[in-house]
Amino acid sequence: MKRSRLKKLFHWDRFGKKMEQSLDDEVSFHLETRIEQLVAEGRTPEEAREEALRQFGDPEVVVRRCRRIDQAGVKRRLTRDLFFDFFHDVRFALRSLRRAPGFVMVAVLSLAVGIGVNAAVFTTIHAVWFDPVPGVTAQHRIVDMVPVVRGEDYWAWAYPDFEAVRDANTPFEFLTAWAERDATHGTDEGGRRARVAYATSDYFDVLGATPFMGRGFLSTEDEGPGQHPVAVVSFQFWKDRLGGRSDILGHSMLLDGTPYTVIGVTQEGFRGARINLHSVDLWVPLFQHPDAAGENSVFGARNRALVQVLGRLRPGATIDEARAAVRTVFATLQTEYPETNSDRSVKAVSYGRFPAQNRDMDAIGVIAICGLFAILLLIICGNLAGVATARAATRETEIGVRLALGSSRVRLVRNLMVEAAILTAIGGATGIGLAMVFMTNVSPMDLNITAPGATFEPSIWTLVLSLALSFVAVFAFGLLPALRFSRPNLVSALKDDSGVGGRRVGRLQRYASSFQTGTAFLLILIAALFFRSLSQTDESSIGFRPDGMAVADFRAGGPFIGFLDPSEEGYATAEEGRFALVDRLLESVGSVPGVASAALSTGFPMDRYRAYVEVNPAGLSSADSTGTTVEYTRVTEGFFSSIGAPIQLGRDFLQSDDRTSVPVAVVTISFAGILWPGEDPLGQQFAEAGADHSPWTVVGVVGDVASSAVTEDLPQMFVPLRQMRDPVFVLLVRSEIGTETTALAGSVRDAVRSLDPSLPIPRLIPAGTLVAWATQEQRTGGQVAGGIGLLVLFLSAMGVYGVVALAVTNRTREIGIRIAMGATRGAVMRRVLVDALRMAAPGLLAGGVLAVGTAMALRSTLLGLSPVDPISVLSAGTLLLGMVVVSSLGPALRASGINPMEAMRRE
Amino acid sequence: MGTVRAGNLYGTLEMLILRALELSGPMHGVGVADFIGTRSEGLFRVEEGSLYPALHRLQAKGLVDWEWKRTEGGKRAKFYKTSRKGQRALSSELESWVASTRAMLSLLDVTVEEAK
Repeated sequence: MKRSRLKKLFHWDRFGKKMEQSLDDEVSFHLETRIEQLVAEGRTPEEAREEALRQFGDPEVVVRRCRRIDQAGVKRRLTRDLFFDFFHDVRFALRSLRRAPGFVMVAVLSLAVGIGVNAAVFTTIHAVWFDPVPGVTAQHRIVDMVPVVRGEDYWAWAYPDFEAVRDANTPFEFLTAWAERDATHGTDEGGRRARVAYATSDYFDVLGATPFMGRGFLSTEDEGPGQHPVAVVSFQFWKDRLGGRSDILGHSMLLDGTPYTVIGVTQEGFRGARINLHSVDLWVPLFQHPDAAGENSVFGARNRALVQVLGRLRPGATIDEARAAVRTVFATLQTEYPETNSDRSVKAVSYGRFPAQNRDMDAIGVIAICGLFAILLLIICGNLAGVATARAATRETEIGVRLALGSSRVRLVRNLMVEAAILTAIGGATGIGLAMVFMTNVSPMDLNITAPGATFEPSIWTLVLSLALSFVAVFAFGLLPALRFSRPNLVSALKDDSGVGGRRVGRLQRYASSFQTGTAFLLILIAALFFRSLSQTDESSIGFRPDGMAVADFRAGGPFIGFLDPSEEGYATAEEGRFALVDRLLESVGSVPGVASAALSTGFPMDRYRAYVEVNPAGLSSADSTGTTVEYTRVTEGFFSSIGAPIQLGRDFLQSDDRTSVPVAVVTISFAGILWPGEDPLGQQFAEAGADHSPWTVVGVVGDVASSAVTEDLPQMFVPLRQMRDPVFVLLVRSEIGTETTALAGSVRDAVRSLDPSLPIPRLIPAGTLVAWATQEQRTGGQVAGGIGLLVLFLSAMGVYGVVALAVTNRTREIGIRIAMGATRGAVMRRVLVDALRMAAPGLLAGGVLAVGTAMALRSTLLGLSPVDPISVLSAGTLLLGMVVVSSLGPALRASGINPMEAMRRE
Repeated sequence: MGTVRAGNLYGTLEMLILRALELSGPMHGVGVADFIGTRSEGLFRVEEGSLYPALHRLQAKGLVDWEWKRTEGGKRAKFYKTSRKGQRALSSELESWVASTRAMLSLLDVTVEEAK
């Protein structure tokens, strides 16, 4: 069946049986004529026959020779025809495309999106997964050893386990353990954060990273906690922070207040063993780690995991050998230290850019993402096929006439295929181009991908993949309409089927269209919910006033606020000095012109630092360890006016609420409502569940303010910072009305510096920014869901149009008859629209249910917004219904404009 | 003197066929063979085994068109006629044939009369 269709498609029947038959006929005719002539001359039939054959020669031979000539000729002509036809087809396709700019735009755009997105995703995955780790050589010989604890991948090893493996007989040439943490690189103008890797001496050997200058670590530097203050710095760090001085080796720099000697600079681009969000700035010996010294050294404990481990195989050794060797070591450790090591093992995997932990799960995720985007492209192609079919169907009469006149059916099919190919070529080129531009201008960090240093350079593989996708696209979207017209009985199909309204648009196409509409609804509804939830974060719901409020960031410089720890700034020894610092800071910042109030606290609303405690009303048995979970924050006086949440009952804290006075607390309304429902909270006492220190007495009540995480709605308690033994805090200020917080930045900085120039420089961050940081998830979620949702909306509009337009064309006669029978144009239009809506309905329904389900699961991120928020559901629903109506409006109008006479004359 | 096999001179058979079709209009294979035999006053006898391959070569080159028609006797036969492309090919072929024949004759220094 398929074969014969193909044969017809390519004229193969011309030199099939028919040709054979005609050759035989031709030769027979010749021989018969000759025999007749000879008989007429008076020969007997036998003689005549013999004579004729003698003159002619062996008919078989002649036929065979002729056949060979014919076949060669047909082939030559076919080739030539194909060649000429190709140009003809391209010209024809271009001409017909020029007449349909709308279709071209839609097709090119959506193909560009489909192919571009796939190219971008593939490039990203390729970069994250396959690109070598910068600065690391002979990567294939490096083995990443992932600890497995109770069957789950874990992030770190206990150092003694590492020592056991290091000292055992393994196929490793080098083995290293290291731990990373942030430290302060101190210079005169204050501390700045630096990422430090504390590593054993083999670190650089394992990675095969040679220094740009100086040396790596010596094995003698592996011992003696704190005795080898030497540092290797990264090329970037040397350039940016050490001024790129060529005589840097041997120079000293401060790290957490300790002088270190620079002994080496790494090659440019080397970022350390792990491709993390923070590239390593400098490396120091493992035992320089602050927790390395003393009795409780983390490196002596089997139950404290801190280090990561990599090994470099000896040349010729295999990862399997390494696996076996490490397994043996861990088996021994299990018997020797059953208490700590019974559930521990190690998974040796190949080292690479991609995190080794849970790599299998990640791989599934990556494949799923790829699959998803491939499906997106298929959907696009399906839609385009629908639109193209609808387009071709509007020319059915013309095509029917052409076919009837004997025009090549093949040509019609080819026209559509060539159109598809042209559109795909333009769309694909645009898409790949856009993807390249996008990828080269976007760093992986912007995409929130943990692969810094990954380059998004267009690789040959991206190109290959995109071309392959384009081919798939041509066939996917060219073939459906093409096959429709390769139907052998097209003319009769035209006459009969389009007449009585029998043939409907394929069920698959309707389902696909409905599915897309549903998906669009799902995504857009979720986006709507996210954006609505963001608009919920106004003053009434968050309980404080970000306007005019600012928080001083003391070092983090990221989307988190850095705390000031007085004990790290030379206020550690004298307790008096520490509390004096609190007073002096409040005094000097509070007296800055334009500052209405200032406060110190261990947190602020939406700061994303969580501190919870379980409390019970005082008097309950202290053995009762369950209580109400509340969030607690330590604050100084002025905190509530600084965040703009006035005390509603009782009093604010006073300077006199310090360590010498009774423990007091300010609680939120919901806190009071839970612990003392219906009672006056003032003067009530409560205590931490299960602890036996003295209870807090409630002295004030504030309204409910947002907790540290926007997604949680916890009751809160506030206690005086001054009653804390070891205060760590941030600085909050509220500007006077009419003063922008940004205008205070300079004077607040000067106030802090004049107090103590060695303190870190505070950077004032407006509370609005902080709220934005805290609601980043919602924003990103909304943007992503909204972006993809709009894309799918656009796609499904195309799908709906294709299906409805085709349906109208297919039922032209039926509609014509209806109109002839007295149906009004309005009624016809309504019918088409209702049909379109009926088609979309199941998808919309399913999409809506799924969206609500998803929203329920995401409830905590919706900031208290109901998952069936009527405004979101209504607006998304209206948008989708509008899309369906608008997309089917064109075909509906055409349907209502059908001339019954013409429609019926088509028979 | 006997008969000469038409087509002995390289490529002449196809030219003869084209010329025959041009002079007498559409003909089937038998007609072509007989026409050449008659026109050459029996001098050329077409090898019938070669006639059909030649016709099909002309067909493959697009120099002849063909059509199945009824003969006067009512039988179906494949009739050939020169295509426009065939006519063009023939006239240029004839030109060069005549020119080269003239050259040949003058080179051999014989007249047509003499050769007879």
